[in-house]
Amino acid sequence: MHPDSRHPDPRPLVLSLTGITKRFGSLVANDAIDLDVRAGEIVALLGENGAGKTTLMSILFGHYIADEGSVSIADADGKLAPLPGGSAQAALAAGIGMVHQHFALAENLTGFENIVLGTQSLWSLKLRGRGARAKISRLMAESGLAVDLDVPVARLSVGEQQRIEILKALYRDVRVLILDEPTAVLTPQEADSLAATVRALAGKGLAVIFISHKLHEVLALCERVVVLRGGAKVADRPTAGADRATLAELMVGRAIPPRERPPSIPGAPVLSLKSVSVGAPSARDRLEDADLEVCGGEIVGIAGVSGNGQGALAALVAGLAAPRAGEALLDGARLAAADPAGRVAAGVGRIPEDRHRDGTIGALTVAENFVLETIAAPENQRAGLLRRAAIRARAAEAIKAYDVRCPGPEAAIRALSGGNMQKVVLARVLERAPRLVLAHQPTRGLDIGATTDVHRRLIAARGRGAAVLLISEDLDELFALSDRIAVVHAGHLSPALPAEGLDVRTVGLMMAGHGVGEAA
Amino acid sequence: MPLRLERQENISPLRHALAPLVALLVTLVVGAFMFVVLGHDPVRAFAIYFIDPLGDPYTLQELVVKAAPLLLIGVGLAFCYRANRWNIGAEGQYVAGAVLGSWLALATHGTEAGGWVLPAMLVLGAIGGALWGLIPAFLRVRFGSSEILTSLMLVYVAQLGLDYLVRGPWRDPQGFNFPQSVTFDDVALMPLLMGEGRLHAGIVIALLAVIVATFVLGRTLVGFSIELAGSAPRAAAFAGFDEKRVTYGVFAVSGALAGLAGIIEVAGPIGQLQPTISPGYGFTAIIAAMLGRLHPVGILIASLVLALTYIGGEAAQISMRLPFDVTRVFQGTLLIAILAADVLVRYRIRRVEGATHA
Repeated sequence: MHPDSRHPDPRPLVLSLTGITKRFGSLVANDAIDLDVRAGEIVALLGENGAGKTTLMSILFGHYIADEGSVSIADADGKLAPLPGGSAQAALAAGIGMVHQHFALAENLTGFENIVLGTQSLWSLKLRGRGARAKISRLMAESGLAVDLDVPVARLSVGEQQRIEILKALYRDVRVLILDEPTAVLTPQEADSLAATVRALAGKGLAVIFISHKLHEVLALCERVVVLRGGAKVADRPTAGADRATLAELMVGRAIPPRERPPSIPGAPVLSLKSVSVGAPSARDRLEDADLEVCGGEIVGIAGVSGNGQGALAALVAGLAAPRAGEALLDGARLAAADPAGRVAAGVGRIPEDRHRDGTIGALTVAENFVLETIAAPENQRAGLLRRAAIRARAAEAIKAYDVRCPGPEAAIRALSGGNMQKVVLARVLERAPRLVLAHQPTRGLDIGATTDVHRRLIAARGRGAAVLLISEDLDELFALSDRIAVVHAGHLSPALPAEGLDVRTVGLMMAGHGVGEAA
Repeated sequence: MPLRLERQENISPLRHALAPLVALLVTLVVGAFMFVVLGHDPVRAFAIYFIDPLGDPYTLQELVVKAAPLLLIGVGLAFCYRANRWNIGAEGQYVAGAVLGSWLALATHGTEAGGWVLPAMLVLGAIGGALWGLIPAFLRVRFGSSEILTSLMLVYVAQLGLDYLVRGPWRDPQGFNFPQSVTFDDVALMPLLMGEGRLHAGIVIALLAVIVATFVLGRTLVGFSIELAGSAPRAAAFAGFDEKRVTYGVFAVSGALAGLAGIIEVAGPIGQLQPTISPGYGFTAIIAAMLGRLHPVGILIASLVLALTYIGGEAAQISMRLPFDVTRVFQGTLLIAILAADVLVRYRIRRVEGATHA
């Protein structure tokens, strides 16, 4: 059907998208995209935010109907048949499964219940157990996805929850499995084990579409890579012979300049924690007896899987929490109370983890978001009366200085892309030349261009003499930026060691809990 | 065919502004249906309800008199609702204000007290309403209890308290055992605007409240923090805004304005305390606030519309023997219609082909 005269691939096609075009008003989200996937193939789908990956997958899933083009999927006999558009049920029935970045699990149900949920009538009083269990056991044995099926999902780790999600898809006899940013929440070891599983599944004939930002994973796992840019397919090539630089260039459309990071000249300690505990002792995300020092002019990275205590650390620094025990000092002054406004006044610049919920207010304008933390300062208000013109003028300057792409200071911030939203947060934080910058997952969900920009700004803040506390799950980012790295696991913080002496594997092991408690 | 509500990111301001008109239209259609079912000619009923009152100078005055408390209370509620705090108990705060203000009128009754009595009564009225409003605010801040329930329940506490007072300690000894207080002295009554008629100084106070509230909500730091607390509490807390202060603040303002409305009503059109001092102004003002898009000027227009249903309802009671409940049905239909219209402005209904798994 799609003959390739030079390298005929013997494996049968399972999925074929031809000429998919989707327009939203004047925006062409997908522009005549062709994509073939064969049985047993692992194909990477790469692209920056807004390149059209999500739209394409939504069309495949029937959430959108394509304006032009068609989707065909192999039936049980291996014959390609057109998939009716606009029906999620048809897509599921045809054997398309997807594991989203944010899991769709009922946390109060067990893994077993989650897997069979939706495959049986809602009216059946009892879940049919035995046959289903046998099938799941077989799938676990075949794929190597071992997980306890009988505890509530809420008690499983993120990696285990992901296994439930994959089993859920396999249980529905998928022929095409789409994994959306599957490693974003995993430790390196968990990611390795996921890669092994994916290879095993592909070996049994499953077609896998792997969506990721992490280029080294794509290169290691996938045999073919499809790159989208601006809604169009710009490359469809084997991964053999490609390297990270070429792929990044294809995604962005221009060469990415290497990051420049001058040597650090650490100054006096700005933040120091002495035996600090934060958060209720029963909470999962808490900090116990932690010691940490962050000096001016250095970036200290905190590695760890989300929910191991970095949230508590960030809350303490951001002023949302007070220490339960121990002593936290900022420039020698004690941080005793939870006082966000006080932290800002004391010179803490805070880049929150969730820029949508904490960092910005969608209903407000760019200018209002820009002054959110300093609204009570005299330059923004006089006797309770807002100085709108002055606020707008300074926001306009910041928009220019930080290259925020938006219609203007009066635009609603929710209309901005994630990267531009983060630029507004950066502008708000860095414009005031903070003593300490808390960067909590500062590049999560951002594309390469925006990520590079955030990194450049953080390094610049360090060059200016600010202390930077970088909390991230992305080890590449931590190693690229940090002067010293500490690992947090189950509430315990390891000593911060010079990044030069560490490697990704050691930090990965510590993230999984090996050697953190003892070292501390 | 299942339907799905999809949130729309960009809400056109025009649709937002037109929603109340659509809601009014729907209410009229439902009302026409109701009149037909009740065996009345809907055209005649509408004429009595909505057209006739507008042609008579006396009822026009009455319209403004009825709109004034709705306006005062509604403007206060806008503070609460913008901050996403749901004060449903304005009726109770209205009564509490009326009681505290009236205490002074009764305490100075028959004495030589001078012109300071009325202003002091107004201040006490506002304080009484504010204190009553601060109870649900405190319960929410301290114990996390729903202000919707507590404020509503406090309405009945206030009403029964008033009932006790006018039947017991504050009953007029010369009142032939009627449950009502003495008629207030002249120094405790709202002055009339034109020397005669029904228009009283409370109307000016209500209009002042519109101007001040428009300014405060739109241009000041206070209005900004109310907006923040309402639209994004997490981000507001992260940025260092104190959520508790906002809760206390909006309940105090909203209670104070409701209390002020209460004492103005008692010292104005009523002139004494009696068991019932409101035809449900505190609840109807909720509709006025929502219909007026939580904007003081919008609430001004909405209050006039709702006052018209009161006046028309009274006329219909007399000439068509329709019960007062018909007015309540009108107001309730209007509230449901405006809430539904809001949903349709914010969301788009999409047909989903094929059911998806729950």
